[in-house]
Amino acid sequence: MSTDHNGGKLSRRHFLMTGGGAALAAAAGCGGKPEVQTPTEVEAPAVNEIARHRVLGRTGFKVSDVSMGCGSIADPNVIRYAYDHGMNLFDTAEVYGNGDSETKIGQAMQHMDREKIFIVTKLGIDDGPDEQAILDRYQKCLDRLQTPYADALYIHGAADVNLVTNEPFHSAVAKLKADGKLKHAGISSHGPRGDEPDSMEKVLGAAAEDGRFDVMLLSYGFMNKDEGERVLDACKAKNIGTTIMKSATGLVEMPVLDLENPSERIQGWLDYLEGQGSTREEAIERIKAYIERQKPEYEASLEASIPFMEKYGIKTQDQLDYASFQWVLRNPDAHTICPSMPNFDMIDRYLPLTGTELSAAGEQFLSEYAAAFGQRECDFGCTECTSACPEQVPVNTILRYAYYYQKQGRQKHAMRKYARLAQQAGVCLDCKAPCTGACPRGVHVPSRLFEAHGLLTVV
Amino acid sequence: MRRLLLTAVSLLIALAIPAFAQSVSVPTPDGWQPADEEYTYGPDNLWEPINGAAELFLSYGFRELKMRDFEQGIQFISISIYDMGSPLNAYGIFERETGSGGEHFTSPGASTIIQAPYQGLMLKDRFYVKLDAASGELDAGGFHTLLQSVARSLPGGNDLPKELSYLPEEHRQPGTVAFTNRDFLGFADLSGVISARYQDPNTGTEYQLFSFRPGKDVLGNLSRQWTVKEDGDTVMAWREVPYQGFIVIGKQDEKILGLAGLEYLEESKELLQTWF
Repeated sequence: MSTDHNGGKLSRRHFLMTGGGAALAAAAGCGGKPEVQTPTEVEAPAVNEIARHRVLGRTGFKVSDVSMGCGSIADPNVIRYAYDHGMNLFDTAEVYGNGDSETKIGQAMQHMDREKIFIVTKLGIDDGPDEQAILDRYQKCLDRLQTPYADALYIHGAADVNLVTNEPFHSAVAKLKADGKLKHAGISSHGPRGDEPDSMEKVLGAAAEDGRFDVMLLSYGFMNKDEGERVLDACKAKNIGTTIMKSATGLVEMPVLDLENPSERIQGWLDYLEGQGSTREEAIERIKAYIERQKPEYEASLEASIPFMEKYGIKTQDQLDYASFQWVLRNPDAHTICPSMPNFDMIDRYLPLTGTELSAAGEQFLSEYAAAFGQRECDFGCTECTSACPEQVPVNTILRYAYYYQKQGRQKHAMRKYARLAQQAGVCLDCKAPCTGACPRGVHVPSRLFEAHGLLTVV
Repeated sequence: MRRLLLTAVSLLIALAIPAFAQSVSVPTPDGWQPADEEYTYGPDNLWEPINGAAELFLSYGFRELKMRDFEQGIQFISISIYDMGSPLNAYGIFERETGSGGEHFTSPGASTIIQAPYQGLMLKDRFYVKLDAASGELDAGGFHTLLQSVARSLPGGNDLPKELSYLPEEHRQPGTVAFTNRDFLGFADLSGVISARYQDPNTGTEYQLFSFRPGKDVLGNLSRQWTVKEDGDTVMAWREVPYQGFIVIGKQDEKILGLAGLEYLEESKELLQTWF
């Protein structure tokens, strides 16, 4: 019998997102500021089991619409709990805890019907392992999982389209299938990373065309819907199964900077400073002084967000997250969402999403949220802005080099790369900037180029 | 909201790294040549080199990663040095990531696990070091030598974290001390937990005993699912654990201990009391 972690059946739960959606519906009806419904005013039927399944493409597997990401699992009973409530796809990888995640899934599987679940594991192959290395590593995955086979093996986090046709991987897959140790090949992509990044769309689009991948893991949400939907269309055309990650974006609640009752993160810094020889009082004073110096920018950002949150009655992170996941689930081509669920509370939190639908008001809210707070970072694989530039400045390339400089600490590398460009951003100084507004993600191109040129130019 | 998030994250990261950290670099081992330059990653972009594995590192207070590739003839290795901010955090992630076994060494560092021919893992002070060999040419001795050169370049001592001594040694099963920074036993309200497995020599009963890193208001942060009562001079809190009986936490004066893994509540409380 399914039980919750209170030791009894799941009680009627107060469904938080319905509160947010209802607030929007009220706004649509009366045309004024919505009446805010607090979460406790809204109830939904008790949810003990997954309520909807979809066919995972040509795998033929009927997957639960809400599945379990197992990136960081402290206890195998959490996995068992998810299974007992109907989740039947478990996503892991060799690199998750260096095998710890697979080990815990293997422990939990002793209490599962193996035929009723779909186990995904992944191997990174960026460093070019040969076929035997892939076979050896995969066998260790199976040993940790305590299963004679996995349902799918993915190329993990592919950011180079050339990995799609990696022959050691495909020859290893062929052998594993012949030996009954693997059912399907798959691939996952987060998007661009590294030196020569390819977009998620480019990698997964190529994988769909390749024909040897039966299932994929992609990033898809209302904040990146265009790219995600192009990938989903490509998968649908080839009857490829789709599992979705990174659907919930955005933040409602700011971290509390309370040094008298430190959060885990602040406590971590206090521990670190004390470990370096400071007294606790000294550590607190140093952190306070730093926060004071940053306060003006922090408060300006907070002030800018208040009108939006008040308009939609958004008070909790759950309201935003629920809407985000429902938005994905409304697309039948997204076969299952795979959020990370490291504890019992997260399972109880996401389980009620099963079988739900996003209201029209909720969809409107998310559309406005994306427009107001859309990601202000360059997607280095995108070239939308370059067509607006009369001087053919390679904007995405220059911003990628600035990223190397600022985020990866590779200053010399970034400056060398920039120096070799045929067209640099120095020409932008006297330009009327027709690129302004050209970025679909809201990046202010002229100012970012000015900053990049200043960083990357050798004086 | 995204701007708000980025501002907060930038603030918190900036707080941690340039103001206070003594950053390290990956040393070039004798006889090896750099195959690329050194890469640096922080909490906001750790996903780039390790994808979803970043989640676990972030849960253990990750600060900074330095990584670099090296080559020697046809051999190719990657050295990653994770600054986890404290020896206890580094110990926690090291224990999680070495659960698959391997050959154990007490040096270099505080502990080293070698899973030849592909990987060597080392714990030293607040650092967790991973050495990966793509082609599988290295033997255990080769890994050991390389890790020694990395250990020499890192600050700090070779002792295990002092917090591990919080738990009594009597009846403790060897090699079972763990640090779980989040979601101990699957509970979101149990964090910063030092635990170990114990066995009663008379009855053979096995259970877990645990404590918390200092400074945490443990009982004050428990969710409503816990029952909290005073029992003489001890405050006790308990709840059921899915599939495995009960978990009990007791506080007497300033000492806090917990016990889990027994089927019955009264048995759990009685056994926990014996440890105060």
